[in-house]
Amino acid sequence: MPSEFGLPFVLLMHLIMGGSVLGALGLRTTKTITAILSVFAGMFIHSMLFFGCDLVGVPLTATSMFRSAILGVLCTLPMWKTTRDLVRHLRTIPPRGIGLYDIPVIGFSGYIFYMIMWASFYWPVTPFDAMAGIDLVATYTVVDHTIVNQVFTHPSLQGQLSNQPFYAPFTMLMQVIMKLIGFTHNQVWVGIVAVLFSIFMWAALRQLVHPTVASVLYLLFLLTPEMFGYTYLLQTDYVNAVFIVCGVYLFWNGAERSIAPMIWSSAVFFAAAAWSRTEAPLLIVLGCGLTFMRLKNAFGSVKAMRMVATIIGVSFITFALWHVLFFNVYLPVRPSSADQLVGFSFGRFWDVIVLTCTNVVLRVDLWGIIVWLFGAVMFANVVAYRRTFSVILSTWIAAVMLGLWLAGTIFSAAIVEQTLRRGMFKVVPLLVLAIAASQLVTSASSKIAAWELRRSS
Amino acid sequence: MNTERPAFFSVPAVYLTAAVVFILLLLLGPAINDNPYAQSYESRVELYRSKLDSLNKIRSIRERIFMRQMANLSVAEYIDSKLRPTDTLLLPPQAYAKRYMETAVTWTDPRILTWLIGFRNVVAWTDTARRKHANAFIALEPSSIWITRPGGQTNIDSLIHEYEWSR
Repeated sequence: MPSEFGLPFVLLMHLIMGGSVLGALGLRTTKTITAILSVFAGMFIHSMLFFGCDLVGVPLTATSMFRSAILGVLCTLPMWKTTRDLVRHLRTIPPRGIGLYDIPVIGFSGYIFYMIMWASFYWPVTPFDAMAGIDLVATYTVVDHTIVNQVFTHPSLQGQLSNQPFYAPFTMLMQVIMKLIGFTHNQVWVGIVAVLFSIFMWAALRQLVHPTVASVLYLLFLLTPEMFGYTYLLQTDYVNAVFIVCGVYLFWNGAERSIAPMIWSSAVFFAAAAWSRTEAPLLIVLGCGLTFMRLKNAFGSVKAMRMVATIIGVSFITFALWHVLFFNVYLPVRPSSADQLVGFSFGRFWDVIVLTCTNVVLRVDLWGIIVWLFGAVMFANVVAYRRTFSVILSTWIAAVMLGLWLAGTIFSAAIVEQTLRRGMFKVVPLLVLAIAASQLVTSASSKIAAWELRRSS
Repeated sequence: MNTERPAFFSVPAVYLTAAVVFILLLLLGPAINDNPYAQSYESRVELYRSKLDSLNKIRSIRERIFMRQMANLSVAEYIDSKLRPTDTLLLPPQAYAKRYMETAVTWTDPRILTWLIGFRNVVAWTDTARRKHANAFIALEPSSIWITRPGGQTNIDSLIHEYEWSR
């Protein structure tokens, strides 16, 4: 199948696959958010199925890739009723419509999206980590039709693999899928994910605040200098941030509004996060642990326990599929990760925190004004309303930061200025959502909405 | 949030549109000193936009890789073209190559060399177990590179010593 048909076909399969699973879990949200979350979930499920082909000895070829996508859709047929209910629900939502003030944002976003897609299509894979790991393994997976390929067996690379070829497999598998479709040298799917995630952020912000306020926060997010650079670079961090943020978004909404299907759906994205980056299970355990009391208040202790156990359980299953099963049963060589583990020490932990704050978190050249704006809004919120942000969202932000600091402490390979800098990709969108959800901003937003309605009528 | 839909075109909508446009221009414009958004936009969007036509004319994947990898690709291609079937090439340490190259040196890593030209019979400098089997070596000088073999004009022991010394 030519690449110009192959890509839309596979994306359609992802949409149906993901939509069916989320529909079966009972997720009900807006059309835009449902569609985007469905594509992300579909990408994750397809990559798992394709990986499963390798586990059972089916050669990884274009045929098996397309067949695994079709199989994924066929597997969702028993969920037809719930999928139909989801589509019916989406049809009942009246179109949101756009305002005059949305036009410049849509126009500018279109231009930025074009540049992201162009760059991710035009440029070959560039980052060192991707050339030495993700794309190298993907290239020879296509050549040898298996992930257990020459990269892990050729004498010239014996003892030279370090940890890049052993990175959590989602990014590598997506790269294999794209190469089999016909996009052999670029990372076009990274651009697709970045564009969809940007639209997701805009839609999520518009649910919280007036479209003008949402647009301003969305522009701050879209143009965040460091994150923008990774919208067309092949790395594991951006896509992992996408999964973590989608998971936290659903978890937060589910817990605050006591909607169980949102919590169940968040498990899909947390599992995908553990499938896309190794330290994710640590962040998920911390986040679920620290927010457990809130979950208990919303759903009762038994249901909350079941929810947390499910989220952590599925995350560990996806983590173990690669890091335990595949490493120990299938791969002829092991990563040197164990050698890179250093014992926890409070001194090093403190150093990592200080270094992260001074060299990463507070740098305006990396994150623009988002971190400072978050601090200012939090301070003003406390002064004006005697309360901070949404407890669940703030706790998740703290959990992610704590997880990154712990990872930076116990992994000698985690360098603050590189690994933890890219780890901030998970935090920045959450900061933007927290700013929008703050009482200060929602109050201001309500005043703008009331003023607009009063003056236009 | 209020779900009542205001009119598409109204006086408040015009004010709010102007506000959004103003903030967008402020973010992308040079009005603020050391504006990180403007700098990032300039280097990641405007730079490519201004060269889009000329960049799009470059169809060859090799040329696009060269634009990103520069001398690393040239060196890898040189190695590929000069390597004999019987050669086992010792890749020099990165520090040795750094002395002669202005761009960031990555080709000395066998994984990067493999990504650039495919699997070849090479030995990494850090592979101390297989290093003794090498029978071809990279010699660098300012603006020149060659593969040398035992019995050739270059003294292999001196070259290895230089490799070690450069670390």
